[in-house]
Amino acid sequence: MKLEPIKAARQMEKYLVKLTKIERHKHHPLLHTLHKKHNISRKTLLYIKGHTREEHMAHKIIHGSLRFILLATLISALGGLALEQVRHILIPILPLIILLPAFNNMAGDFGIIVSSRLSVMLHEKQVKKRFWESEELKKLAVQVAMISMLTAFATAVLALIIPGIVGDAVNLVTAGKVVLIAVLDAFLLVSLILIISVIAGIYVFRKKKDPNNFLIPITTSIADWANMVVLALLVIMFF
Amino acid sequence: MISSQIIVIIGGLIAGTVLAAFTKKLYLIPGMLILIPGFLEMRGSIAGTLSARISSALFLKVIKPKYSRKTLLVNSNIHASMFLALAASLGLGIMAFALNYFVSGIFFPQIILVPIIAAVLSEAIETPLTIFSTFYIFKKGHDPNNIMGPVITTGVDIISMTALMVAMVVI
Repeated sequence: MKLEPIKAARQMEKYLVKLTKIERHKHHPLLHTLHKKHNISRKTLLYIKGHTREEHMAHKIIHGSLRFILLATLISALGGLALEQVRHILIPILPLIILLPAFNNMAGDFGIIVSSRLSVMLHEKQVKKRFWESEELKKLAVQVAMISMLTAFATAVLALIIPGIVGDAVNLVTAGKVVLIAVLDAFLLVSLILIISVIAGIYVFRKKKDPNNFLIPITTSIADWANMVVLALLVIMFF
Repeated sequence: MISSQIIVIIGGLIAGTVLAAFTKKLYLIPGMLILIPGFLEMRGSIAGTLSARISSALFLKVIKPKYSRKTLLVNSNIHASMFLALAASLGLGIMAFALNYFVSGIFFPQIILVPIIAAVLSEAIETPLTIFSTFYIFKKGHDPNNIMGPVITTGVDIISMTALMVAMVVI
């Protein structure tokens, strides 16, 4: 009688090993069998499946993430190339240099905010066929545009104050140009993200796929890249 | 949305101030502006996913919020994040070198070493910081997924920018 739990445990281990080898796109009945038979939560089983046996985990993480991290890094580096072309104008203007990392983060954040909120709207059928007539979409566009421009304005003002404290203040005309570049960059970026998100989101949703899975990687990558390109173009225009 | 943006902006501005302190060195190393956005993106992605994986393991009770050398799961995550950082830095360095050479016509192979040195430096600080902050937030009864996003982006930006500048000075 005492052998029964050992037998059950061995059988479960066999199942778990089998579970880790199943291709991700298949929804195998084994997952449900394990849940019912051994009372292991579906979340835990999904985690075990996702992370495989502990000794193979590092390999699995690297295998799953490397290409995406490399892609995101290289796209951002391409954006950096645009900045490199205007380095002789950019480097002497300290507030613009101070703004760079903050703007780099902001771009990706706005991509995530727009994409996730648009995905919810698509799932809740709030976006009409003629999307430009959707009240909710208009509200989202105005809200995100306002917040992004206000954030850009506040960031630019703070970036102007920092060199002033260390005795390297810029003149009024340059300060005005820096603020204008920041606000315009935010506005153009959010507009671009909105246009891409709406077109791609509707397309993906019509294909009966979850827009969350596609929109966030697409918009954040484009936002990161476009942010640097737009910034470089604005720097050329204003200086 | 606004509160997380404030944290991100403050972190970004501190990182920007670090960058501004080294503007004279930026002139000396061609291609540094190619490296900066890519390096920050890479560090943010690695630390963010590390924190998310640790959070999932904590919620599923696969690990306890306490570091032990015997915990294979945490160790595997550390090894994976180290490898990812080094591999992505090498890729970024090669890309910066290639863009420098083909677009600007500047032959400067030392630029490949800048992100690698910076990755080693920042990895040594950021990975333990990410793991212990996730444990701490979880122990305090909060969901690390809600807090770690903006906190990680802010911390990583400042540390990575400093590491990048130190690597630039070393080169």
